[in-house]
This record gives sequence, structure tokens and C-alpha cells, in this order.
Amino acid sequence: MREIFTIADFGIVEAGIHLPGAPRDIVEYAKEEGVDEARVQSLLAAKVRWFHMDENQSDSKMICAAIEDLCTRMGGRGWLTRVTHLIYAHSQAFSMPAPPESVFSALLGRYDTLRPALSFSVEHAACASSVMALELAARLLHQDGAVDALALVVTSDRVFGNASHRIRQDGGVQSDGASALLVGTRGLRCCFGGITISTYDKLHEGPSTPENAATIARTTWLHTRQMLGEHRQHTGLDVADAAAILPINADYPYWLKIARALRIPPELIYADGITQRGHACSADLAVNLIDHGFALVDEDRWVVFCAQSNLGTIAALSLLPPGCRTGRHATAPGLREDCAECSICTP
Amino acid sequence: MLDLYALDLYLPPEVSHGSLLGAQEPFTYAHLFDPAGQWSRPPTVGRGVRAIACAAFDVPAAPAAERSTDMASRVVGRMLAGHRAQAAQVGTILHAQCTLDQQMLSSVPLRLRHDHLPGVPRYATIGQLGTAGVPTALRLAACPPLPASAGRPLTCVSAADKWIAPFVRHFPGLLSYGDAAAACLAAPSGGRAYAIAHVLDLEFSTRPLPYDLWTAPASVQEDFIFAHVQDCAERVRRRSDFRRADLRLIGDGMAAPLGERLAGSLGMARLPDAAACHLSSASALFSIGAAIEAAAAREQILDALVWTASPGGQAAAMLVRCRPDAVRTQTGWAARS
Repeated sequence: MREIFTIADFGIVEAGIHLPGAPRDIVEYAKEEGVDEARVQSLLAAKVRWFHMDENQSDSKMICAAIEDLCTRMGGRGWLTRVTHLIYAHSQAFSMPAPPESVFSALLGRYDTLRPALSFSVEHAACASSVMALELAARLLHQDGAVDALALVVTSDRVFGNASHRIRQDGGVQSDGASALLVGTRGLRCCFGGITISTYDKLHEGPSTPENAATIARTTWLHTRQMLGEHRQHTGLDVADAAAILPINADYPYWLKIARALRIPPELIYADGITQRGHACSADLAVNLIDHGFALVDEDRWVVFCAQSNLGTIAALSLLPPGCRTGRHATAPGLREDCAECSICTP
Repeated sequence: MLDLYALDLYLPPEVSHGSLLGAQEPFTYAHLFDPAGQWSRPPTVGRGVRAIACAAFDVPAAPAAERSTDMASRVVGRMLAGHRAQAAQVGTILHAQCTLDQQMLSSVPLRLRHDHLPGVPRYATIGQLGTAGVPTALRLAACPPLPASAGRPLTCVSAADKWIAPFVRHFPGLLSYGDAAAACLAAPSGGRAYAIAHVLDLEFSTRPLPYDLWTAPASVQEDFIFAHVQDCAERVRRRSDFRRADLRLIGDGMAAPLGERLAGSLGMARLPDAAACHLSSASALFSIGAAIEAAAAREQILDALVWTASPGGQAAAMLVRCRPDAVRTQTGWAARS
């Protein structure tokens, strides 16, 4: 086991996604479902347009498709044997087979070289579950200490019900989607700069009543802003210096408020995911990395992913170029100094 | 690897059931009857079906108004009552649950944090392990704490399940699930003088099922679970210095004679099961409680091999050293001070 847990020792090796079917147009969908025109206009103003849906795929099938995408990007399946930990994160409570059935039985049945020592899911933290799963993955890899070991974090979220469930009140449309994130210590596309998880547990009932939903709508942007302040305190990483903020793919109006409050240019907020992909819940991290974040990190810049939730859990994950030890930006104890390997630390 | 400091157990009253499915609560889980719900509904339960008649059986069942979050909050609240100092040392909340709460947008660990454990920095519900999630939660509790949890070495591990239609409560000839909740406080070994039990080692595994969970005969499932638990038990025992005769076997309450078969094949004497039915995700903690009870009754240390299994493909075996000086509370056990 390594002596000190340093989050920057871990990072993302590669990511894969599965957003089922051809993109659907919110304007067409709203017509079919009889959604009123004013609502459609407010969605379009919030940069919402395209999304994905398919009621004919199980979570296991969606996850396998995301793993297949990951295999393509990894150039093969050899890495599957090195996966020691398999973690499933999901936001949508029903995105699972009927208990006591488990997605893992299906995944292990599908991939006979995938034989992790430990498999479990992370639930009840809505769209922050993916960040929690990455932190647990790093923690378990750290404890095991094998440098070649990998953790595979998979996600799947499916929307149940009609347009009133698929369209979010305050500027978003939910996509069905899955992702696969490979976590390790070597051959990284980016390393973890820091993880901040902030909690407002008065919201533990989620948006179960109109009053709760209104409270969440009123406070989420404020909580997100506070959490980004905590992230700077914990890690020394100020979002104003990031090349992009990767949000969950919804709620653009909140992000404009946050940008104003933090005095950061709104262009820093990556909005193409909201427009082009829709909010696929815990898959948004992988989607936005593949579409935008990885390219920025490849240019030696850094990005921050923000996971909001409707339960009172909000999380930030900074992603830095591999090898960056954040000497200049990160002053928190335990992080290494004197990284001279990237332009963030040695501009 | 892990010391346990407190344990609390909750069983609602036993109720007679005449349906294979969980409680009929007409407005709960309505989404499962949407088209997308087909992948989250038992495939043997048709759209809109909320009961499938069967011969009567008795298991504990929570009243309609009592949610799984209520059950979890009840055990954690009772366990921490009078132990504020311990509560302040909890750095992680890990909850194991197989079923969904009837208010399915809610979060159990956030409820526990709100009700009893303010400020705990890390928490999660651990799932997709069928009703055998507790050993994995204990394995995670044995990890060194994250920097975010520095100075808070304890993990609050809880488990709760409440079975509601269209989920299946009763697998005739194999097992019947009772509603139940349990909680314990755990920390990596060696931190404190007194514990109620020590988890010395544990072994768990998930295997793909070679049959369909929903339609395979009970005897086929029993044989698979038997072989799976036996493997876990043998592996964990072989890693230890224990002889077979040193260990007492205890595990889930099953309709199938799994306990007898395992005792025979493993060559271990059995302790009485904690319950006649399977106490769902809380089952492993009930078994640990029953083993502590046996240690207290004999007034000597008792080394138990605790097994738990789920028809979804999970099995686990834990070596647990139970202390005779654990202090009995009204609903569980606490460490002597």
C-alpha cells in the first residue's frame, strides 16, 4: 500500500459512452407530447435542443454498449483482465434490474475476462454519484497498491414516464445514456486535481413535493457557487483559471448566475453538451470529457467538472494534464510540489 | 481488519402473506409500469400486477407508512443514542439496500446524516449486491480514511429493505424476504480498547448466474448458492489459522436447507439462525448479533463464520470474533466502556 493517499496519483485512462439512438429534437418531441409552446421557448433559450431516448434497452445493455465504446477507444479488450474494481453509479433510482438481480451478474456474464475482486454500486447521491464513484475507485486502488490495476466506473440512467419526467422544470431535457470511465495510475489522459463533495442534507427527500423542488431550484446555484469556493480552498484550484467548466448538461440559466457571481466569463461554461447531448445524468462527465475536456487537457490546460444533484449533494472534480502535480495551484497538504512538467505549474 | 463497536437491530411485526410479491401499495413504483420500466420490473410480473397468490407464509413486514429510510434512521438513531462522542468520530456513512424506498427520489445516507450524523464528509448507498451488500460495506469501512475524513475513523454501516410490489418477496422452496434494518459502527482494527466483535477477514464474490433468476427451480438456485458460499467460506478459512472445529457457522435464514448442507460440507457446528426467514440486506448484521449473543451466553470468545448470499449471484463469508463482554442494549449491543 502507498503511504499517503494523493489523489493526483490517479486519473482517467480513457472513457466510453453510449447515448442510444439518433439525436431527438426537443421541438419535434414537444409537439408529439403536447408540451406547451412557452415551455419549449424557455428550453430553447436555455440552450436545450437535442437529446437521446430509447425505452427498449436495459441498463446492462446500455453499460455494455459504453464498455464497447471504451474498448474501441482503448484499441482492444486486453485491459479488462486488469480491472480489480467495478463500480456502477446511477442517478435515476430505477436504473437497475429488479432486486435481487444485479447488473454485475449480466456484465460478468457478457465479459468473461472481467473478474474484479470487488463490485458495487453507488446510489442515493443523484448526479454526484459518478464523482463519488471515482473517489472510491482511487481510494481502493490506493489501498491495493498495484500500479497496473484498473478500476472501471460505469453508469447508466434511463428516464421513466412521459415528457413531464423527461423535461426538467428549469431548463433541461433528460437523455437516456451510459458511460464507462477507466481509472488507474498509468497511461492517463488526465489526473485528478481534487475532489470536493458538499452536502446540504436538508434536501434528503429530493424533489418529491413542489415545495422541495422549488427549494432545490432556488438554492442549487448558490450551493454550487459555495462548493466551488470550497474546491479552491481544498485544492488551490480556482475555476476562474480553468480552461472550461464542464457542467452537468442542463440548467444553463443557473450557470449564467454562477458566472456572474464568480465574475468569470460565461464562455468558460461548456454549453454544447446541453444543446447537443441532453442531460444523461451520471454519464455527463464522460460525455463532456470526450466531446471537449480531453482535448483541452491534451493542450496542457485543466478543466473542472461540476456535478449537481437534486438531493443536496454537489461535487467538483478537477482534471489536470497527467503528471501535473499541481505544485503552483494546489497548496493543500499531501499534494506534491515542484511539478515542472506542465504549463499549469510552469507557465 | 475491522472492529465493531455497536450494533442495533430492528424487525417490524411478523405478518401473514398470501402473495409472492411485496406489500401492495397502489401508488408506489408506478413508473415500473411505464414502457421503460420493463427492464426494472421482475420479468415474471405483468404490467399492473401487484399480487400473485401463493400459500400463506409469515415474515416481518413494515407497516404501509414506515419507509425503508425510516427503518434505517430508527436503528442508527437508537445505536447512537447516548453515544454523541462516537457519533462525532463517524467519517463515513455506508448504507446497503437492495430494494427501493417507496419515496424513490429520497436518499437514505443523506437522511441518516441529517437525522443523526451532522457534518459527516462522505456517504453512499452501496447497491447491486442483492441482499448481500453488508460485507462489501464492511470491506470499504476497513479502508484507511480519506483526507476529508481525517480524525473521524468510524464508519456507520447500515442496511434496510422493505419489499413492495411488483418486487418479489417470496421464492418458494428457496427463501422468503422479511423487512428488516440494522446498523453497526466499524473502524479499521486496533484503534480502541473495547469492541463488541472483530471482523478478522472476509471474502465475497459476484458470479454470473448460469440460469434465469426469475424462472430457475429453487433446487437449482440452492445448489448454485451452496457451492458459491462454500467457496467463499473455504477461501477465508484457509487464509486463517482456524481449524474447522474452532468455528461456529451462522448465516441467512433460508427455506432451503442451506445452513445444514454448509455445516456438513464445511465440518463446522452451527449456531441457531437469527431468524426463520432471510432478513434481506440486514441479514448479515443480524447473524453477527446472534453470534455475539452466543458469546455472551457462554461468557467466552466465540469465533464465527458468518455467511450471507443473494440469489442475484453474490455470496460472502466473514470470520468474526465475538466478545463475551459486549453490553446488551434493548435492541442490540454496545461496547463496554
